[in-house]
Amino acid sequence: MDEEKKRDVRTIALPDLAKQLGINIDRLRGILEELKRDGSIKIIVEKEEYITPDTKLQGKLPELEIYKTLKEKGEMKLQELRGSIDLDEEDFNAGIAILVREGIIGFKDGDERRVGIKDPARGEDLYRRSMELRDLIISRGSVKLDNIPPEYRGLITKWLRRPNLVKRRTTRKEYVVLTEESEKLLRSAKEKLIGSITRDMIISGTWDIERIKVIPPDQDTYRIHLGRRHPLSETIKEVREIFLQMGFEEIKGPIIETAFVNFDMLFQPQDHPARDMHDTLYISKPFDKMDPPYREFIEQVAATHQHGGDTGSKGWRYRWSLDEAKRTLLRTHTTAVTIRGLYENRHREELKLFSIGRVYRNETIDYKHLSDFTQVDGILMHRDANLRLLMGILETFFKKMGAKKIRFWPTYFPFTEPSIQPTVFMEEIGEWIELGGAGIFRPEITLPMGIDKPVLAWGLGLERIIMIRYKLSDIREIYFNRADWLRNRKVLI
Amino acid sequence: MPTTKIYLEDIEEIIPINEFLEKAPYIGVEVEETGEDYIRLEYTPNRPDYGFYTGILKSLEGLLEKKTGLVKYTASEAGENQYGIHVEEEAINIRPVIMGFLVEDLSLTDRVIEYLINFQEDLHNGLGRNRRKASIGIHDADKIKFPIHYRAVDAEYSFIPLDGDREMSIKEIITKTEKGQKYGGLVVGQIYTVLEDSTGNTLSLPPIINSRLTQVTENTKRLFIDITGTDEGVVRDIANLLATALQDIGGKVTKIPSIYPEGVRYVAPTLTYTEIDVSIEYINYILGLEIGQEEIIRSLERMRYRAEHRNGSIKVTIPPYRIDILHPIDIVEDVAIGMGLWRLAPSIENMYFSMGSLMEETVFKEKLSEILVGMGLLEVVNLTLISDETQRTVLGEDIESVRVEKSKTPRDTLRTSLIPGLLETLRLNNTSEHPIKMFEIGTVVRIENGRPVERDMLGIVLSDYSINYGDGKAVIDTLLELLGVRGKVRYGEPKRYYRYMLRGRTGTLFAKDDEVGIISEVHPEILTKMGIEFPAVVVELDIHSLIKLYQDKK
Repeated sequence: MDEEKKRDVRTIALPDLAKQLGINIDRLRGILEELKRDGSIKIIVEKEEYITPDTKLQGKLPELEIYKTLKEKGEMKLQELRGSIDLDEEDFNAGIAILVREGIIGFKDGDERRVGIKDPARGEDLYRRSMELRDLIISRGSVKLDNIPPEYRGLITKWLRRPNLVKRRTTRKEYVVLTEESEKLLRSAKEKLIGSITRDMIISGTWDIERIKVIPPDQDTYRIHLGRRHPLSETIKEVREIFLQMGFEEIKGPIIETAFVNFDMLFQPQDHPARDMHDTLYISKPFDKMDPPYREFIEQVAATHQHGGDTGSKGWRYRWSLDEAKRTLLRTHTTAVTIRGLYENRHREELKLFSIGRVYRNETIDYKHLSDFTQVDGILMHRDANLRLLMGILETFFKKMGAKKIRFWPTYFPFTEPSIQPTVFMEEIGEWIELGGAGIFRPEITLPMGIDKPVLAWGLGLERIIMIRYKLSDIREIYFNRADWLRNRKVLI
Repeated sequence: MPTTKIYLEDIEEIIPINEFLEKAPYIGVEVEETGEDYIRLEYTPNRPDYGFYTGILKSLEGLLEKKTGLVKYTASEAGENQYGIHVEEEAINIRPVIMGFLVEDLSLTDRVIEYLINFQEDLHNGLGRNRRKASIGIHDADKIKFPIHYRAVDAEYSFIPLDGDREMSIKEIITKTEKGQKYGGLVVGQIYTVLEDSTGNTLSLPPIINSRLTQVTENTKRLFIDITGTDEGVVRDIANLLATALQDIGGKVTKIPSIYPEGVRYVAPTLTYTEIDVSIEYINYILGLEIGQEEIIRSLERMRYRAEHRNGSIKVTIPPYRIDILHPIDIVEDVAIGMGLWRLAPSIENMYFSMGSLMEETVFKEKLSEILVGMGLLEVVNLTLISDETQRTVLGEDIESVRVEKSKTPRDTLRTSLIPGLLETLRLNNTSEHPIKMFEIGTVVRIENGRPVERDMLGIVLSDYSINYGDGKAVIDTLLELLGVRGKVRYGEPKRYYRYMLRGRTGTLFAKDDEVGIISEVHPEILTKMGIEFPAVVVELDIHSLIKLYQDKK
């Protein structure tokens, strides 16, 4: 085979061809791929076997050691022989076995204990061949099986059977069959195929548009992994932008809140089921109680709960407890933030505030529920504010968020009256869905603050919108942060 | 939200089903379930009268103008001697309020009994606050020899409870029966209250269970209803709700006086109609309309009020079952519902002009995110509640945090650092294509000087087949360089090593002597514990410290 190749100048190994053409091997492969496709070039793939030394080849070959000793010292007892050679038992026995099998040594007169050389000629031959083959393999590191001279062939076969002496390694080699025509093709392909224009070409002026490799317009490529914002942040940004367009001011507030702000200021009676530990996450000791902010306001809140105070309301008619109001909890809605904003700005003529943040409920986490999620709340205080304006704001807001149609239904929230439930038609799912809630703060909330103007309030959870947009059936997906989804989710504008 | 089940047959008598289904949302009622011969409706808790089917039908009849205006409810008075409930002094200390009344001429079909029991349950759970504030006993009045005595007894007292087959002591009832186990705890101490008739037969052990003696069946002709509780207002409201509902289906109500030691304290049901004045101007002001008195009156009559014009105001008469009317604003809402909310055109004409604004920190965080995304980092968002166990695994056993009570999930503590969450995220991405480079901007809650403090942090995690401290520092150095504050920060040894930090591969950022952030390779032991297969570097920076550095620069 090898001889054949030497004669056939038209067959050449890939690395050699690359060297000849002066291009790197990957580039050559690219060129060949093209040429192979239209059949103008042929590639032969050949498997080649190599012999390489293993651990034991570097040391003594036991059969040679034994032969050498017997040759020098003559016939002797097996026990004696063993003592005069530095080999372990296993190797010694293996060496004896080889020499016996080859007929080189023998045991004298049936006396198994005495051993001597039987056939010195064969012994010399084995010794020489073994030493030569060993030198060949060790000095070359790796010898092609085909290149091992025939006189060693038998020996190498035996060696391959012995443990850790030599190894056989198989490699795959590609040869290109060169004809005059294909050689020409290759040369011109090499000339023509500029994969990428390089800086060198630009500077040296060696670029040539004619030689640019044609890249098919629909060539397969790889996916680029980019940095990206999280869909929740993108939605928050979008909501912020809408509020900004409508002239609202952004505020934030604490996550850990008193029941006073989260519930009492919002006229939610202290035995309201939503205040139950079953629904609300209260903070454990030692942080279970906290002094409410706005101390000067506590008394009025208490009076309003108990009998309506000066608001013209009947109130909830029960004994209000400061201790209950001091309980610390994780805010259950961002209305806890906007109500703070309202109180702190109660003297202003008009007010537009919004807040986006995490809120908490004592929920079992499943495909529909999370114990912390994201809410947005907005309020507007103005002497000309009314229910129709609230509806107008919601309509503007939801249409900007992508709703096609919006309708309002009566509903109930403890802190707003009138209360309205927006339902919006989302094209993504072709359905009407309830989204958020809205209303005008009850006079029991605003009048004690000295606010006699209507205060419009609305809020909604953002996860629901994200689920619809990305067609998620499990709310938890939003917080799983799977790189795959975060990287490859579609752009929504 | 509570629900009411209504049989289609009972709707069809009054309103065609299709019309009913179409109009129900207009009164704030939603169809939750449709059965073969019934529908289940969800209603809002401010309208407990919707817990009985006639409540919903009355409203819809009004809205459809089949019947409008007030429904008149009446009750005859019973003689004190004949029907009174005599209240013992000691019973007042335990469950102080008791009211009761009689209902006659009822035809109690299975269906009506089912409605009544469901109504009773809704009232128990809602207004009654799981029977604590009020509970209801419904009895076959013909099994009772009036008058009735409301007495205090000890736990040895015995009778045959409803669904029981033998006499049981109260002690047994509260330990062995389902209702007893559930509601026994509502009675504090060893003394209980019972209702007995004049022959000493037990009627009930409120708020736990009735006796078997007075059980209601299809053959029952007259009902005696008792309501006991701790809140006089709620007990009265419930008496009115039950009396009006039962009158809706043809019952004749007789009031019964509750005779306390000092004399008659209550006569229930009161069936009081209250009046409230609401100005036309106020109605139009809140709703953004310009409608006249006639339209308002018509709208309120559809909502089953009586409404009359009186000096620029509308005098509204509120029926006894509308216990949700606290303030004129509640009437304003009903004007809108009576008109139909769809008739209110959304409008932003009245929106006043103002400039919107973002918080400074929002702008800063957006800028940080922009830079980090530019560096090829993916933003992640984690829950702020984390399991204490995870937090301790990553940060150390002695980590102090704010915990919540009785969480329904293992996430029972507020994160004190973004790093545990980021490592959880990394684990979830073991099989994602690496490198994984992520950042999160979020709030953590730390305990500082014995108080919880909320801090906004920037967390980063970088992970690849091989990665080290330098990769994290490169991100931070670049970021600080871009912010122009690189020179204000020095790197040093952390004051404290958290569990995840790998010694020799950790750096703390100091601004003067304040720690403002850390960079650290994650200890392989923690990676293994967390189930992460790739090495990782994490970073955490205090955003407000960064903002301060940035501002001080100027």
